[in-house]
Amino acid sequence: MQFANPAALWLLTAAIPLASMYFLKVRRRRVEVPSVMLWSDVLRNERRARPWDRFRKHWLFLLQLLALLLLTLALAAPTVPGTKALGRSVVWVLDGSASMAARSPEPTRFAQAQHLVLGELGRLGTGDEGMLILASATPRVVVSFTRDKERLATEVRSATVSGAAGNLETAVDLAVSLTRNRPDRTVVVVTDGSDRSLDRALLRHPSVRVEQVGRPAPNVAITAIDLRRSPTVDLESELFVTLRRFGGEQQPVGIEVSLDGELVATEVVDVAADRPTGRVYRGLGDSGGLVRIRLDTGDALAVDDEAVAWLEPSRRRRVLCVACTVLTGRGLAADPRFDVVSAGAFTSAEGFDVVVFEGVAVPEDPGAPFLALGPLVLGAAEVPEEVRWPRVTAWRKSHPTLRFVEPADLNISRARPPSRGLWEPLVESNQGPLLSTGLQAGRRAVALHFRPVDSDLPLRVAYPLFLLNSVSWLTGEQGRSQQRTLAAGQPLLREGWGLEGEEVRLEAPGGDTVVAPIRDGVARFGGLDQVGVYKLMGPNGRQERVAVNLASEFESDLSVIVHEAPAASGGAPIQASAAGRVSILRPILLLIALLLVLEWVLYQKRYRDA
Amino acid sequence: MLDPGFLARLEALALKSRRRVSGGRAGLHRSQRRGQSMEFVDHREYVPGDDIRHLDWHLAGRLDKLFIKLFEAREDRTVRILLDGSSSMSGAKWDAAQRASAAAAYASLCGLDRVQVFTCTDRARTDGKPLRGRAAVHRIFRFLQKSKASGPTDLARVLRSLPQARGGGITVLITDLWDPAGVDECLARLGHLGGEAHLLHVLDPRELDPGVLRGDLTLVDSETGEEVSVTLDRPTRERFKAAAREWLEEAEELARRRGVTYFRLDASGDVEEDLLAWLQAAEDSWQLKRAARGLGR
Repeated sequence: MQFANPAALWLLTAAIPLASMYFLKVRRRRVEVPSVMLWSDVLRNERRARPWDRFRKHWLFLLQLLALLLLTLALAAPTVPGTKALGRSVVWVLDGSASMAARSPEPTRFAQAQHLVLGELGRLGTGDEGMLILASATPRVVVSFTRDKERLATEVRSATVSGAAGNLETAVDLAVSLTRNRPDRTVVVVTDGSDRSLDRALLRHPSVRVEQVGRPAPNVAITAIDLRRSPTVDLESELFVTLRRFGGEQQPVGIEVSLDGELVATEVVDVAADRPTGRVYRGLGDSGGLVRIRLDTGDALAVDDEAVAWLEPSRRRRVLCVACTVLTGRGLAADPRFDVVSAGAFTSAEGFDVVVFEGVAVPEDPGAPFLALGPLVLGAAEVPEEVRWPRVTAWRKSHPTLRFVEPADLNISRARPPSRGLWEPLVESNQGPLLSTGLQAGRRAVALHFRPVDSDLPLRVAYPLFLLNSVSWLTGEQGRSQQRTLAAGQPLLREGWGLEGEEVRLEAPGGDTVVAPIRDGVARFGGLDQVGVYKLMGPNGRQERVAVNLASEFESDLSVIVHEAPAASGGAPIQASAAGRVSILRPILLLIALLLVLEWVLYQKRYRDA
Repeated sequence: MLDPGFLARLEALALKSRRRVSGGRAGLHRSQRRGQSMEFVDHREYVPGDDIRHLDWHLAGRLDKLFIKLFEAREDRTVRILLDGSSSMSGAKWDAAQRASAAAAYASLCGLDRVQVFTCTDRARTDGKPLRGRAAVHRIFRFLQKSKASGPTDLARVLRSLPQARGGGITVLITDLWDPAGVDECLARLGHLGGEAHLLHVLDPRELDPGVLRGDLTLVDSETGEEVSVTLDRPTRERFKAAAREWLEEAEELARRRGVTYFRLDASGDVEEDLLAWLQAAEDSWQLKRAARGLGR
């Protein structure tokens, strides 16, 4: 026998006070009788005839001692080697994606799914265990394996649907991996079938059972929303919206567009069935704000009838160009969004959004994001060793600074690549990094590790593009609106919001607040699964609002898609028991209960019988 | 002490003796001697000096020999009433024992017997010599009323200390038989006192059935102060009840063997009826014996 909690054996010392109390508490009532002659004879004969009877009067005490011993054993959680009978292990993967909020049938598909799971929960046997996984953008284990049906039922009832697209494939993978060691396992997916990734999961795990909920219903939805620079008016943006009708006939839909609560446009549009309808709204001005578009549909799913987008205020960015060549200066001045000021030497970055250093050393803290053209020498640091004719071997195409820039056949006569590990290289050569990006004093920085004039880069179209990309990225101009308008379920990353270890708070549309510490300069938040406007609050009072939309054609399509698992191949027979250590807690508790009953009976017989 | 109705009923039931008495004084009891009563007993041949008034002339006519008719003599007797006055007799038993003593004394006095009452603890105490005549009943009652049940008992010693009954007589022992010497010793001593012995065994049913007692108890002997610790549960109670029954049967059997008339008196019941029954039983027993002797003759 082994004990999971041997410390509980100390409870055995309670036998000492128990014995003391027992023997001290026996206060015999004194009763005067005419004579004890017969009593003496009776007791003498009794002891002679049944010597064990002398213990009879201490039976209650002995039973109490035994009960204490068993209680101690029970607390010590004893186990013995044996074969452990295992019950069923059932995992319910509850689809918590946005389409489950559809009111088809009433009240919602999610409520129907909850009802279904609760029904199956009620049919669980005593030894069966259950687990609940809520599948939205990222799967979440709401309750791990437990035999506590009440707890499971409570969690099922309190589960809520998210505003994000689902990811059932990941959820099913998770469920299967968590039940891998369970001999008799069942994974049940309760879904309306909106997530097509479930088919892939069923191919991999044909034993998974799918319970279908929901009823087909027509739905009009906003499936895309974007803000883009106006091609005609400088510093202005226009709103681009895609509408789509799923099922039913073409019908007119009322649309309202507002900016910070002020109505900007309103119209009625005939949204064709099963075909996207694009709408563009202009006249949003350059002051920025929260753009909200609302459809008047009254259909089964409300979450996709409204979308929000964050419009950045437009203004010219001031760029200080230190020791810049003419080519660099002209390249930057080509974009009307930038107001370029040239200077021979750096004095202060105050009043500038970005500083461009060309061929000069960069101060330790220039006071603004910077672009270093030429070897990067920060403060009094040593100048890196020069290399000759480095050849480009790799580059990160996806980085905003390299948008439409092809560095593959770049010819560089000399460069001074820094030692590795400090910054993230964007362009690699056979002799070291040629372009890197990183954080300097908490601000973005981009460094070209060779002088432009030592290469044929200034002669290429890519040069002004690289300059404008870099400056846009450094000022945060590029993609700023995109960063502040997300699809539900996407993670949120913010860098440059404070020092290491400081915290950034995110307030959800429902009022809940999440705190994320800054690690490696970045504050990371998990999938934002509520549709609406989130509020981000930095350590120095910095604030930002982030718009989150469903914008998912799959979720808005309320036709019920039936997913069927392929025929399950014959696997190994299910083993209902497993060798291991078996807890003997239950028999001990039963024995304690029996002892207590026996003690009660004895007590009644001894003291209560007339 | 006794109500007049009960006393009136007692008058008709004098304590009869199965034996012939030899009290010395004329009384109502058959004597071992031949006397002047009307009760014919036997014949014997005439010898000079006999009272010729007792010659049986019919027999002389038939047999031509002179025979004297012998008649039974009637004498009084001494009734000794021994009342156990130990602590164990206190309570209802003491009340019943006092009334039994009084009843026995009154019935005996009505039968023209001499009555002497003793209270017995570790020694016998009495109010004087045997008393005779109904008038003595007040003195006996006063003595009984003054007596208390207290102290230890040693009945065997007390019985040993009493003189043998001369010329028959009756000894009535009223006790609960809780004596350290044991029942057999007491009864043996009682039997050896001579005359006829009666044992009125006074019992309180509660001391033979401890139904009201339960749990962990220390029983204290009212006489000796001896303590016995007992856990009174159902089996122990049953065993005690069985032992008590056995003890009673043994007492009755021993009394029978020792020639002692045994009668059990329930202290919690109707004492007067019990006493009347006892006296009636004693009389019936005498009548039966007399009738048997008559038949045998």
